[in-house]
Amino acid sequence: MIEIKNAVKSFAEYKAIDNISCSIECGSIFGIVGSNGAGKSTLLRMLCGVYSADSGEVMLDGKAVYDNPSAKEDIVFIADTPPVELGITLKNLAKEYAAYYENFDKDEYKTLIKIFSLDESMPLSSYSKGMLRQAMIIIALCCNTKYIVLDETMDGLDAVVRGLVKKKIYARVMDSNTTVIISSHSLRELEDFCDSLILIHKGSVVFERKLDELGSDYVKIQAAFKDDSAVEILKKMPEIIKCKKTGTVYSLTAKGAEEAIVAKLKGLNPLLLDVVPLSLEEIFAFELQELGYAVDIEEDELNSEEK
Amino acid sequence: MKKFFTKDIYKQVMKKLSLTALFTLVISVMATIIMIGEQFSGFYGIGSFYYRYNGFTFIGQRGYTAAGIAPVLIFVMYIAPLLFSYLAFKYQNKRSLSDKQHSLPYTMTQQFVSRFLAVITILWAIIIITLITAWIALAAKSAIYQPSYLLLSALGYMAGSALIAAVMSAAMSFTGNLFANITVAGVLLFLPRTILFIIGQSFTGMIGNYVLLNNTNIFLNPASNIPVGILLDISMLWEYRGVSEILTSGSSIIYTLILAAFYFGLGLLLSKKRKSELAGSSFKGNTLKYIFASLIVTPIVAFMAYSLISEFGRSHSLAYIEFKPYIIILAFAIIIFTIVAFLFKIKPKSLLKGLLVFVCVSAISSGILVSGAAIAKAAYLRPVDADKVEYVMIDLSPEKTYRNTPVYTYGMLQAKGVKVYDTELIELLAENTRIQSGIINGTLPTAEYEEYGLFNPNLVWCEFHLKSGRKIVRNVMLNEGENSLNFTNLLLANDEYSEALLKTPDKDELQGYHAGYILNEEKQAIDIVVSTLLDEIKLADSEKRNVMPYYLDMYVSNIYNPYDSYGSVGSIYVYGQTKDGAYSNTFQINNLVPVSKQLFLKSSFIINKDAAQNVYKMILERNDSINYMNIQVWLWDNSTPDAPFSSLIYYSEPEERNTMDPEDMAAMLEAFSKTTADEFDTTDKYAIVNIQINTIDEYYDTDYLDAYIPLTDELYEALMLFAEESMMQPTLPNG
Repeated sequence: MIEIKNAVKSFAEYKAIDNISCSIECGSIFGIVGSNGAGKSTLLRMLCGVYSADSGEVMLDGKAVYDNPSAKEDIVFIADTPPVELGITLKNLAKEYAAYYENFDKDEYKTLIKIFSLDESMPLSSYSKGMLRQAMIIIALCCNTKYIVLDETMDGLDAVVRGLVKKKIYARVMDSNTTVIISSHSLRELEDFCDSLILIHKGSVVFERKLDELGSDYVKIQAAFKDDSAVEILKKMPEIIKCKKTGTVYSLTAKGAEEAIVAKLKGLNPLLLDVVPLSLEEIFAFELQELGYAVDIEEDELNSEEK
Repeated sequence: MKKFFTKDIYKQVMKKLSLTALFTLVISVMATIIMIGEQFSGFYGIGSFYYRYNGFTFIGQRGYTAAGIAPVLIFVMYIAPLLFSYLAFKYQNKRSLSDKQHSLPYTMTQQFVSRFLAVITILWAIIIITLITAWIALAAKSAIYQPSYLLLSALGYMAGSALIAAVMSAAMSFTGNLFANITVAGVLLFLPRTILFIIGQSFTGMIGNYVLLNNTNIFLNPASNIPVGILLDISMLWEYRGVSEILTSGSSIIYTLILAAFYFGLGLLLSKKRKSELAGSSFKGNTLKYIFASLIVTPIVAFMAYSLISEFGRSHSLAYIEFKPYIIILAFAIIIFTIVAFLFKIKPKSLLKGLLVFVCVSAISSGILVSGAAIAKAAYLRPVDADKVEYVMIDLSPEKTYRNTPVYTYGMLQAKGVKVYDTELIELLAENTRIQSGIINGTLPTAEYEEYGLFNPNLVWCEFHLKSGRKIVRNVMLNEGENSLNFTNLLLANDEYSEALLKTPDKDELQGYHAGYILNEEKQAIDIVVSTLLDEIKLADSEKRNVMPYYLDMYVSNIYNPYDSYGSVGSIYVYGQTKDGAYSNTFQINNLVPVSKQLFLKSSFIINKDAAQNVYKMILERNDSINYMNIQVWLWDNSTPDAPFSSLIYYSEPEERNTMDPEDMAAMLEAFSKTTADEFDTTDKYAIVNIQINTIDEYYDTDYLDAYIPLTDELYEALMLFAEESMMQPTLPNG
């Protein structure tokens, strides 16, 4: 288990991580999302012992991570910018990691490079961005550590490869109780991938939730009414935070308990009333908007009609 | 050990550096083989030589110096550690690589130690393999060299390379880009030694080189730091005895290794605290940037401060000081500081704060320099207390800083190891140190200074061994006249010392010798003369051996003069090397060594006989083709030690001031042509004959003849009738 308690990290006068606390259970896939410059990469590096916290604790199975080989041998870190040295091939890189991590699985490596169709004797500098990411994921999986930390590693992969990677990660988590911590800008990727999620903004945690609990505060409803008189009533409903009209159908997003909101809307005698699932992007956008972060959302009928 | 070192990182670094290491090794080995094959070592050729130069025939062998065995290693010692240290630690300059290394299951200590040891392994392997190759090549060439040079130079190169590697690794442990790496490495390597050097220069080299830097202590002596000492020596900022001496000095090797260990420790400490996020930046924080930008110009500023204070100390008034140069230098230093600070990527708005740092650093370094100089002066410019001296060892070589040319005689080398316990001599020398240090410090009363006088002083290098066990080395100045004479008499009264002065080398010990051009290129003749002379000298008693050190000529009545009453006919020049240094001697071939003299005369007669006969024939059978002719004959009666040799027969055509007419000249040459070498065995009289002859057919080609001719009593008496007194001295055939 990874535990972070009141961790603070600054670079000169800039506070990148401001008093973050969270815990990550073993055998799960943990997602870290946040805006640009929120502190995701910094947090990941603190988890892996690349950065030391200015204050607070970062513990891996009860051991402090920073400058502690016994903790670090359980964790492998793959950065957003892969560490490519001049002339190095995937084969050499694999040998290097095999030397550093005693459980490195060479057979698994051979299997994976065949699956992903990578030429291990080519210099890594001649790989495309996507190929490089694949290579680093292969390395991470073959190290056979308890924890795998991937910093935006899935970005840049095509759909087929992404699917393959996810399959492999799932299998590892299920078979070996490995914990995977992954950051991404693509919320769609994390939506059907992670068990839990943490949203960071300006170095602080906005929320930390299990994925199946996310979105429970919000409900999205599509409704149609006989006439426009319903709009006046909708304006007065404080739970409605967004309303978009397409033809005669209103797409409403509300914050609160689903049953209560549905009951209220039924009172307006809608011609049509359907509860539809919210995407993680929509939840993400609403949460950040509430924090004052400028989010590009569609025109709000209620606001345009001076709710 | 596991806490500090991991073979995983070590092996990975070795693997990564292997190609570059192999390339370096191949170049080093091939350059060494080629240089030894071509017998090249520095500016001079190596190996056996037998050649005529400037009228002299040199025979001997020039051996390899320690630095000359594999001079390519000097470049390897400087460049390879910088290169390999950079390659091993360059991950610290790139964020992605730095993050990766920090994420691995190793401590920063393990990273630093393992990488550093990998670099050292490669450097030392290159040095050792190169020297083994040199050893094989030297053996194949049957070259002359001291076997100890191989081991000592290996240790010297290894120590020097370890120091540079440690400095670079330490620099990279707290900087994050190449410019900062190199700048800091330069500051760490050169700045401390520069300050010490300036301190040393402030009190050495004064008034007869009273104290020399290499006779101070291990910290002030630039030779202690092998890489910096060699650079100072090559640049001639500091005159020492050459690269080889620095490289093979035991104390220098140990000091350099200790310094390397210090920087290694510093790097280890700093790497433990190093943050991965430093990668790509010069330093953590602006303050360090300003500190190191200031340190780069510290030598200029500190030296300027020292000069200003010294000038004030001399003039005691600011009104007499010309400030303009100091202002210009200070402005220059500030400009350099600013440029470097910007190269370190400071924020311009913090420059004012940076100037404050500059002032503080400059003040501290100037303080260190000025106080260091004051302390050193007080310590080293004190006179010697005779009561505290147990014995003194005296080195008569006047030149302590002159490179390459041996300035010792063999005897002087032997004598400098003699312990002299004579209290009167010690008191004389100590009294002179009082005067000398008084002159340097400006504390000697004017009257005493004027009485002492500094015209044409003599210098004597003395090692005073104190009763406490300490040693003080000073170049003691003796003014001309009674002071020097007293010293000489006291010294020569010391039997052990004067006996040592008269020691001579064996022929087997020599590296080279020549015996004047009269023996031409007859190697065998030269060898025999030299052997015979050296053996004969050894058998002669001290009264007869004419080997006084040349510089004592100034005030010693026994003057070393080839034209003395011992009847010198020539000389041999020998040189060689002992563990104490290089030497050269000139030994006169005179009446004190009669067997050698006879041998020399006969050999020269035999060697030049055909040439002489040709010249006689040319003159006697001439058919008006001679354009110019000059004959000078000095007559020498060796039976009388005091006989003058100013009896000169002179004949020339066109006529100048001939002492004989053409018929008599012809008769004389006829007589000379009939002499034989064996006649030297039965006569004490001989002629030194110089003939120059230039014919019309070969106008620009002049024939010369220099020869010794044995004279019977009758011939001598007959020739004396034509001789006249002459102020001219004969040009002896040895040149």
